[in-house]
Amino acid sequence: MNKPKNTDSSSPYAIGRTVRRVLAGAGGGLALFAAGTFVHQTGAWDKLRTSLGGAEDTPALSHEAEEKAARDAMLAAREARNKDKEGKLAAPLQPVGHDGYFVPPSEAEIPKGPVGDAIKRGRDIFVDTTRFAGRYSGNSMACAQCHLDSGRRENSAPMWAAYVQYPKFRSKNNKINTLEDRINGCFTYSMNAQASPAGKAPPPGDDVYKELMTYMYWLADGAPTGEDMRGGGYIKVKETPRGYDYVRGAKVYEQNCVLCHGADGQGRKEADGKLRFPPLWGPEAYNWGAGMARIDTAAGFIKANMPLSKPYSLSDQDAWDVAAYINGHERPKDPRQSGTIEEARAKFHKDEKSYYGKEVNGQVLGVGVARSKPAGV
Amino acid sequence: MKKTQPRDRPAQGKVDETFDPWEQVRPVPLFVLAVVFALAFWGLLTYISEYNAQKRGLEQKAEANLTAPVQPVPPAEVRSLVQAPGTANLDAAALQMVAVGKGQAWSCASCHGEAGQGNLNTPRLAGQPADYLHKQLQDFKSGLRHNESMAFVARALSDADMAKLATYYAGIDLRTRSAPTLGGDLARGRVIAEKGDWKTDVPACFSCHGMGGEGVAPGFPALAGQKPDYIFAQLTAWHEGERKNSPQALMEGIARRMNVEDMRAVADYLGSLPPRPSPAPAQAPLSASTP
Repeated sequence: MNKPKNTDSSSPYAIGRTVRRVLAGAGGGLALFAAGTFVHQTGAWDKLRTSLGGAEDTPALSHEAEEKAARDAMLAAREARNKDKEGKLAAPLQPVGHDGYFVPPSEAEIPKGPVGDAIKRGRDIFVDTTRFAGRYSGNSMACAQCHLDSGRRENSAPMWAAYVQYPKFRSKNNKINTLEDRINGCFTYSMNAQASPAGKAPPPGDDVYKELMTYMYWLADGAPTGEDMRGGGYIKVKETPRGYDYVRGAKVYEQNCVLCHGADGQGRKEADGKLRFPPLWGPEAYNWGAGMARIDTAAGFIKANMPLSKPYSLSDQDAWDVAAYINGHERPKDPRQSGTIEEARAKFHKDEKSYYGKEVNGQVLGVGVARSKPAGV
Repeated sequence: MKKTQPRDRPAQGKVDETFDPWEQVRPVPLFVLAVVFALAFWGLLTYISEYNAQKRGLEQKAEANLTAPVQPVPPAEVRSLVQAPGTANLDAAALQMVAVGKGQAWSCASCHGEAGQGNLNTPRLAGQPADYLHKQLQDFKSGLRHNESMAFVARALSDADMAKLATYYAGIDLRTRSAPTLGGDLARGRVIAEKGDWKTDVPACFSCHGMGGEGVAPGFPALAGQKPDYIFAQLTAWHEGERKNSPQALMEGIARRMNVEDMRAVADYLGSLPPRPSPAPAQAPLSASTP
């Protein structure tokens, strides 16, 4: 059965055999390592692990690489088509990321020269409106607080989706609006320009509009005009059988919002006195004419974006309720109001879901609250 | 068992006394050898990649573009760098606990440094929002936050003691920064700190922790100038579920979505930023804003 082996380990036969075994072991080890690496690369092991109830590993890279690849592909196709004299190459497709949403350019793509400077100024106004367009800012808000990630975030009314929709007819003012008209509305309502040092929104043709529009044009680079971009605007939250209620919303607010926005809804300040988290009601927030004052609009924003870093964490019911709570407080008055609140309600807020002109806690909302400090502080 | 044939039996004089004819020769199985080699090879590759990361960290210490080079400060001099010492709450009881300890608990300064500047994995306390420090002490005491040393120390403190210590440390205006130690990509760290990685639902650190990373009272601690090893350790703790006391589980979720490279990058970048005073009542002047 067993061949007798020479067990004298110092004999050349034994040494040679040992060396051969070690080499065979090393070779086998490398083969095992290679097999393991191969299995790991296919992801079969991770799938098995997660299907058995293990936690998902975070990816080795964030999705940044995929998004960049999509943009690079679009830019390459564009350049090829520009060089194509016969016009046979297909037009570049809009760059779409791993999640199916449009990929706006990164800061690295800002061109040099006057256009690039305008883009940067527009971005600065967008991100820190009170600092860079302070003359026309009537509150402490900034565009990027509702248009998150500097206007790039899908389902947070991104600018790349807005840009390609203008000019368009808006029932809000019953006329064709250019993008400049629309931004004028942002200043008038969301930035409460009536309380600003200038007393109103920037005049037509102002550099503020030019810079903002250049920034938005750049963000929409690669998006086709006229297209209803996926991820544009805010989502619509399905109405619940119980409807919305600001009393329920108060509890939701306490559990989810107070940490950043304060129990008094006035936000929180950082070291230099600037507001880090925006106010949600009161004199420093958007006024009654703003879209965000509508409960359905606010619910859509909140559901998909809030609390920050936890999108879609609130139930539909909670999103509606907390939106009702936030919009059930006083804020600066609607600048369109010329007569009584009831007249303004009938004319401008008739069919909308809001508390404008309605009674909440014994008060009819819409009277408005003004800043106590003079504008420009 | 068959008896062995006498064919290759050595000559009479060289008989091995311990040879047992019934004992089979069992060399180490080839498969075991192969597994050992595979493991050794894997270990070697890991060591090489870690060594490269370490080397990159040392090279990145003087990244001039992103942050001014961090000059090391001898520990003895740290106390002298505390600005406007008059504004620090010089409550006698607090000073006693900081310098000497209380009862069985050792002094805060023995681990956190004379001016609360921290060391390696021990966090910097100087300039942190008082409410945040207070909450952490309470969490250590109750066990909501896990740390054996801190639990021991915190159990010796009453709530009033905690409030005094928190106020004391919040009032220390110490402008020293920390050098990067983890080999993180500082450029990537800056991007995450200032802009975030929205596609993975990781908002910019600054969106909650302040434009310069100086913290926002009461819930968001200062990150600028914090020890990179500590920041990294906390991010991994949240990632793994080991730390669970972030309000609304915000940091648990954020850290779970970060990968290790980004954690290193962000920890190194934030540590190298110049700290500003947290929003305390003190009128201390602000340092120049970060790039």
